[in-house]
Amino acid sequence: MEEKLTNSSPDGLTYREVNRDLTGTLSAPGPVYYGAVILTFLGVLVGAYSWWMQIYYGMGVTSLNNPVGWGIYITNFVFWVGIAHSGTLISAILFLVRAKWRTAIYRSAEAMTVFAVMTAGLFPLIHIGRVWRFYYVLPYANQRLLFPNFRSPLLWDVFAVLTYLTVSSMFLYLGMIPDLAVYRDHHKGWRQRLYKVLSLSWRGTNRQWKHYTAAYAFFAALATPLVISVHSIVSWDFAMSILPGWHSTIFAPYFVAGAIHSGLSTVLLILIPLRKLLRLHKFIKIDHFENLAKLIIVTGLIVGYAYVIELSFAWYSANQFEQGLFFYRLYGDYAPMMWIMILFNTVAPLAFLIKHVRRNIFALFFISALVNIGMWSERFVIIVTSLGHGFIPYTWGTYHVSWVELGVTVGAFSWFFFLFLIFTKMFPVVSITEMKEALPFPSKTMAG
Amino acid sequence: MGTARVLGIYEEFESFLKALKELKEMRAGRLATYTPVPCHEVDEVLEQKTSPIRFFTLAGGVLGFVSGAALTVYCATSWPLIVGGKPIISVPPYLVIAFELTILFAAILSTFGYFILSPFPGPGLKGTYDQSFSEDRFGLFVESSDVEAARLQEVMKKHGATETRLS
Repeated sequence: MEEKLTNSSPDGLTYREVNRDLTGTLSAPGPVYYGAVILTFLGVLVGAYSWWMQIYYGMGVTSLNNPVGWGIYITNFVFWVGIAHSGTLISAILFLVRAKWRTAIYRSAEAMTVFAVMTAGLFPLIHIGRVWRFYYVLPYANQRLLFPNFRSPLLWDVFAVLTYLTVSSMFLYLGMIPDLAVYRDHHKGWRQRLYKVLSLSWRGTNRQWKHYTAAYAFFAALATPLVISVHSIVSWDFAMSILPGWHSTIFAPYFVAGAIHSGLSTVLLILIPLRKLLRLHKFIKIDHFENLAKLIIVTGLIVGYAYVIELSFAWYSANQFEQGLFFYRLYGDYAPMMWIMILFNTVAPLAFLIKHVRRNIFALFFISALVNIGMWSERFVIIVTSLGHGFIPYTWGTYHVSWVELGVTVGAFSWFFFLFLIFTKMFPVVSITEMKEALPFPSKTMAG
Repeated sequence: MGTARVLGIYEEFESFLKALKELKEMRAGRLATYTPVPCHEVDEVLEQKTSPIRFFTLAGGVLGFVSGAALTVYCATSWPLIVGGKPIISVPPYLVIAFELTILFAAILSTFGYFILSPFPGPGLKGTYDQSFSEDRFGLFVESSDVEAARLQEVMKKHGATETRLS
């Protein structure tokens, strides 16, 4: 009989195996990975070229004009800020409520948050037109002591999104420090030097752990109200105006739920290929996907409820502008997008009520894709129909996307996936420390 | 009489914890541990106080709120222009900015506090780190007088240390 060091987790994983498997994600990538990197990089170039066209020739190359001054740029902005939210839900809120299943997926979700905010942040810059005038929104002391108008929700957005980017980046980095030390100890050459710097001489001493766990908990506690405030503020970009379809008190919770709805779907869209690409089947299980699918049912129902309430508000309001706008949304020029949004966001996720569906990889991927399309459509419908169908019929108009705006959109999607792909081969996509924490401590048991 | 630094390396958590407890009872000197994961059991034995990071977070929060309120009020009063019939100092919108800065400053100061408090690496632990600590080994570090060193190593070995090092 041989004595063997083990810990009897359900999967028989040991600390050493966790280290081995999760440091192994950095191994030389295959052609699929390189193909994806090249493809997304080309997409980024398309976006950069389109933006350059816009800067060179002016905003005239876009379709943004009266009455629709906010087109798919702001649609994309709201969409990407929304995507970011579920990352914080998984990393911070599920941490605070001690939902242990988050362990395997939270790092990827958190990285997704940072990259999604980085993508979202591009759009106000692009939308400004003269991007070099961005500093106008910052409260710096100029000659005439003229400051930005803090009563404007657009300025709240600047503060909210920049805070969100800063806090979520720090949260991501702080959580990675012990894992970066594992990387440092497992790699040689330039990688070792890189992780040595990034892990800030982490040694895992009792004092380091004490401060680390305290800081991490505070970050989770700070990120939770922050995430709710950020999308509430994004919703107030609309709700603070008096336009029909925008001026509504339910916008903040409606947007927060929608944000998490689309974000959870994006987590699934990313994790399913990631698990296959990096062979993470031992860590990211179908149970994780199932739990995400259950959350999608909940957010889908909240979003569906918001749609019904919105229509009911208009119906009972006895306000002809409000009624006219919602009638236009349902049956007007953009009706297909309105119906896509209703079907894809609220009806499609109901398929997850069937256990078989939420444990089927293809179904999960397909429905998540539908939800993402639906949520993008939702933002488009909210923005374009309200602007294009205001109070006076004389000012009504439609909006058709120009190729420059499409190019920038393709660029933004590619930029997001490009950053994420680079991240997967540079940093731990599953938290090594928290995976170990989920296992029992190593002990000697009689084996063999 | 000089100072000795003794390091014991353990494969098993239980034996590591037993050794730690005994050394603590012996008042063996300055104790510290290396672990691959955070261990509350270690905190209990070493009677660690709650991390003071919370004061940094609180200070950051208060500073952020005050800064947000001050910034908005200062900017609005520097060029008092009535917009949309709203008062110059409009409390609800300024609270939004104050709230965001509360979170931002609290987070920044927490990170700052973490960098200040967390020793990189701990004083006295220098040079005793082993790469296996980031994998699956537990390290027990004692700083004591060199006459004690042999006895400390004995205690560590008694509880199943796979290796002890003296420096």
